[in-house]
Amino acid sequence: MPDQEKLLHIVLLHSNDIHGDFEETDRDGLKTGGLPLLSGYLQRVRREEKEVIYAIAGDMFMGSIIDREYRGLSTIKLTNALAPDVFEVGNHEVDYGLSHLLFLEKCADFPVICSNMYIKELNRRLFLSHVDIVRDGVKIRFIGLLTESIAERIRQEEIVDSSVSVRSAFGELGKVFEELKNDPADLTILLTHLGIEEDKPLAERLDPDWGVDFIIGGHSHTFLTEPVRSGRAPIVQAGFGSGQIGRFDLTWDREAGKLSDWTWQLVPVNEETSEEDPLVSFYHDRFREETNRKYDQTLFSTAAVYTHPGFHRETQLGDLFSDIYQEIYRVDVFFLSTNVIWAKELGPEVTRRDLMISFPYENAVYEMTMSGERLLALIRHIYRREAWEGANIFFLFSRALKLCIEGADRAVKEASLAGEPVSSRREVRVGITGYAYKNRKTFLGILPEEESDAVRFRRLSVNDREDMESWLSGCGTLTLSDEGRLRTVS
Amino acid sequence: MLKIDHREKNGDCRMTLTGQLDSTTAVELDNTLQLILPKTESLTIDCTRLAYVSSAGLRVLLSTSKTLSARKGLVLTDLTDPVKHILEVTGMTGFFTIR
Repeated sequence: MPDQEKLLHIVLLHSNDIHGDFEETDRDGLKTGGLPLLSGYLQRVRREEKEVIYAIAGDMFMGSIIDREYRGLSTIKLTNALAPDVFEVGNHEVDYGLSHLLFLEKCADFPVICSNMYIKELNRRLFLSHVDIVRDGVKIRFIGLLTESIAERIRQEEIVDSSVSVRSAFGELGKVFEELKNDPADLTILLTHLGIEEDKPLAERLDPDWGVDFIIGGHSHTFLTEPVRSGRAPIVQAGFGSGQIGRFDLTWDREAGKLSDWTWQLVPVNEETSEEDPLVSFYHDRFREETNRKYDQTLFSTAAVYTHPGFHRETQLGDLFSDIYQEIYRVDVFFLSTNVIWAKELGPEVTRRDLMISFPYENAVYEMTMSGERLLALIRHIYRREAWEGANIFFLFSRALKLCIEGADRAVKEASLAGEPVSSRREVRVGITGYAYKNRKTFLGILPEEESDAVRFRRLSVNDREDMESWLSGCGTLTLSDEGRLRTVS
Repeated sequence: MLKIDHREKNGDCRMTLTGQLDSTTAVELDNTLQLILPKTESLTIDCTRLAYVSSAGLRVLLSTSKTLSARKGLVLTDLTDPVKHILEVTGMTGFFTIR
């Protein structure tokens, strides 16, 4: 058989963790990345090569205001224009909720795979375990695997959350190969969103009978200059964002029925390697214009630039937003964890975009009702010594509360609420976000046996950022007061 | 299937598309346009018998519109209902000159 007929050249391109990296940037004087250029590269390769496959190893979502504004629908539309052949679910794909992800899957023009996410009671996978792509008679199988750490992120819908589990990647892989043992593929690729430190032990444990040829990974945002060869299959990953793309050039020997050669490289996506795809450019520009129109309006202003320089201390923005939360939810005091605020500074003009960047996650809000004595015990827990050293998330609080913390042991020397000792209050209503509520035992020291008796809970809201936007849009100029509400003395 | 007819006079080209502009035929259209665009100042595409446009087809039309935007431009005429619907759904009706 002549060489041209004997050998089949297949180009396999892959991306991971694009995270809403839709806009080009300047890198060393070159326009780099952005979806129009990424798509332009895909179009170019599809014109130049006969057989091309494009795979995405998860986490298209989050990281851009456009994505958040349209709750992933814009991202799906743009991804449809990239036309991947297969997409593995990443942990951020569930950030808008599982139900929403399943809706978005219906909007996708490409297959979505993930073999280890299950509906528990039914023992049924939520997505396809694998997809087979045939190129000129060669069957290439992609099996999807997702990190188990996603279980922490399924947080929005209680009924769905408790019905879904993520199983061990390796255990599930064995199951998939057992299911498919009578339907072999010519090439088998694991498309994973595990992180390279999980891909490596996976590669080492692979059963040689499974015939895994490559692992294309994501999640750890690892840039590689060459494949990692630590186990039974080479591992590759394409960093993160849209500024580069992984490229395999595979040579399939038809006579021998196997891969005779392959190379891999990380290709930069820039104006030297690609031209903008006008279709993706069009869609992106439209989403961007609509988003800019909404998000570049001033939402409120502040009397000065207020800062948030660190997590384990009182900060101006921590004080300001704790006060705002107290006002919105009309509780006696609000405890806000400092890690909820991502901005280092805000003001004096604050747009919707600034607010969204500063508070990227939406939280539910809860009210706890407890006695003053119980609140004092809670305060002692959250300001114990370990909390100042980073062992716990750190809380700031609204102006009604004043605390004085003393000494290396961080004892609570004074605690007053609206001018009276905290301990003297018969009943106090305390506001917290959903993140603190879900971790109330660790963060707040509230034990299960106390609930409904010593500490009663009530959910006040499902979306604090929407409530904030609504409240802030009518508030004019905000001035911070009562700084120094958390004093420390030696 | 796509039939592409065109005639050119003094830099003004009139093209008629008959059939479907999908991912396969978009390549044919693109190849034809690559040949004629260098000498074209304006292009009018008669869509009376164009039954369908896919995203690949939209891509070619957008690219052509961009190329001709510095000259006399691209005009689409007599859109069929399915093509009109696709342009509306994708938000492109305001982008192209349509008669």
